Amino acid sequence: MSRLTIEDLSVEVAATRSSILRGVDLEIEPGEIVGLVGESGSGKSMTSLATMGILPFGLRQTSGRFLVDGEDVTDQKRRSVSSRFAMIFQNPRDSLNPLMKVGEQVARMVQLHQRLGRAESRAEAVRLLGRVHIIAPDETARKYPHQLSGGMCQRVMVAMALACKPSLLIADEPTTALDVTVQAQILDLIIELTDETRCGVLLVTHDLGVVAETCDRVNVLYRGDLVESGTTARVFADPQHEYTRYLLDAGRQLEAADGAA
Amino acid sequence: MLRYLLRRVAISAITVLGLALVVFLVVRILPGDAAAARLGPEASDADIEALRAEYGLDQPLIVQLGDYLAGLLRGDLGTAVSTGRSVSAELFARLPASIELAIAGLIVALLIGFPLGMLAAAKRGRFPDAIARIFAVLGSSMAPVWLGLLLIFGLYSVAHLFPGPVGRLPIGMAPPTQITGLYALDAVLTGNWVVAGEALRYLALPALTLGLGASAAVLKMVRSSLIATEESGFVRTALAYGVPGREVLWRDQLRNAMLQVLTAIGLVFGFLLGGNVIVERLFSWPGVGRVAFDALGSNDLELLQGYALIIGVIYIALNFGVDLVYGLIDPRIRLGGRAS
Repeated sequence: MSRLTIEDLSVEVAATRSSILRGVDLEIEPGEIVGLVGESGSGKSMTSLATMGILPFGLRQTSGRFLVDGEDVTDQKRRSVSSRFAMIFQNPRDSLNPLMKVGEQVARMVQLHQRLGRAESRAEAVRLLGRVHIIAPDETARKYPHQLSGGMCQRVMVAMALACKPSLLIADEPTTALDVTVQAQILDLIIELTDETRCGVLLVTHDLGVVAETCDRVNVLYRGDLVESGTTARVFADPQHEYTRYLLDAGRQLEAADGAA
Repeated sequence: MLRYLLRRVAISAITVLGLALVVFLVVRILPGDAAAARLGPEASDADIEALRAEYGLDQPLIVQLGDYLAGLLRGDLGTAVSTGRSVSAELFARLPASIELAIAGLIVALLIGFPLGMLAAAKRGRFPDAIARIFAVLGSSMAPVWLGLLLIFGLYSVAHLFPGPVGRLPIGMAPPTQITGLYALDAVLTGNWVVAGEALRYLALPALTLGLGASAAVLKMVRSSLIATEESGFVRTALAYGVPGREVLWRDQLRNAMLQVLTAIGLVFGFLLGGNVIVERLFSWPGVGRVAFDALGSNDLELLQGYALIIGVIYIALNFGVDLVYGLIDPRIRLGGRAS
């Protein structure tokens, strides 16, 4: 059974009724990492926010059905509460509350989603920080986000995601703001944890290199339309849609330029 | 934190010095001659010259400035020409009344502005938000003197709910033993409940006049800074992870918004303290604003200069206090380290 099924998702700007997403369909199996690619403004992030049920002020979902582990959760307003969704974002440091210690922030999610007591939640938070390969998790738990590097903050975010025991992890440009070496570490961590927990991952990115390395399947968004989807190998080898070919060519030209330099 | 503190102290000290300079120069640049004003139109040139010499006004500007700054260091703000008493005695005797009024005004402003600002932010774009914003525009555009007159007319003349604008206590009632100089507080501290009640009743209308206007500023600041945090990453995270909206509002948004709101509160309090000349006049409130008003009328530049300086110093002290609280709330300041 699919971890997540999205059927016919459409989103528009409430004031002008101009559409942002038109009839997007998506499917994610357990233990599968599915890429969602497209240029800026193609609707990638809006797809993930709509899935979480936290569209920004001024946007409205006009159609769409969401199934999680076979259960229809379309009518639950904030799906995150009950359906074990978790999400990590582009700017890990901005995604953490600057006034709270990171251990406290992880413990809060443990308390909320695993219904543990205060002391137990703190212990579990430290254990989770260790699980995302943070060295000296005890000490790190007592630090504030501004005292940690961007990569460390993203690990904390992943620990928070684990605290929810999610069926589905949405990773919205999780490595874009990070150094290249740290990028690879975070992606490896996501792959490792996906295998372990058998959750589904929706990886939103504009970086085809990231997709090639991590995703089992890929979906291409272009101006609010889903123009292509298939296994990563098939889409890279034999793109059907013109925009996908254009995207791949652009990526290859960049690689060639890198290689020449 | 220590470095942050030292920096704040240094900045405050420099600001005080700059303030003293500006106040000194402005008073010197103003047209008119304090000595001539004091002696009136009948005075002979010789008399005026003699008085100028007495006050040191015949000295070069730089010497006058030196004398002035040296006096400040001794806590000597000069002599009020119109009354013959020292400027500091005139002002410090009246300061507690102004502080009492400003605190009461601030409490009113916070009680009204804070919940309305939170409500407006939570119901953004909907009916309660519209009402709150109309209130904010009305509150900030209504002249205090007009609002004060309306309140006196409505709540005193017509409804008789509050006493008339005759000062801090009923005529003939002795003030409580002075401890802080704030009548209501002193009366409570000495267990004088009758005086405490009256002091609060007399405080109500001027505090409401001041506080209603200031509440608009508080409302706008609370609303806009809450909305700013609403769009920040950590609030999105908390919501995405299923933290209940109420907890996000109190624990994530409000604490982060407080950093900006505190600045606004510091400014509002300084404004209430220094900017209530008209309200003190309207309610016969014997505070420093009244002193400044009378000093203007009698051309007493020394006194006016002292008023400007004291209010300015209080302002700077308030900002220093706000900076300290910042340090307590924000670990980025308390612990230092990389800026994010």
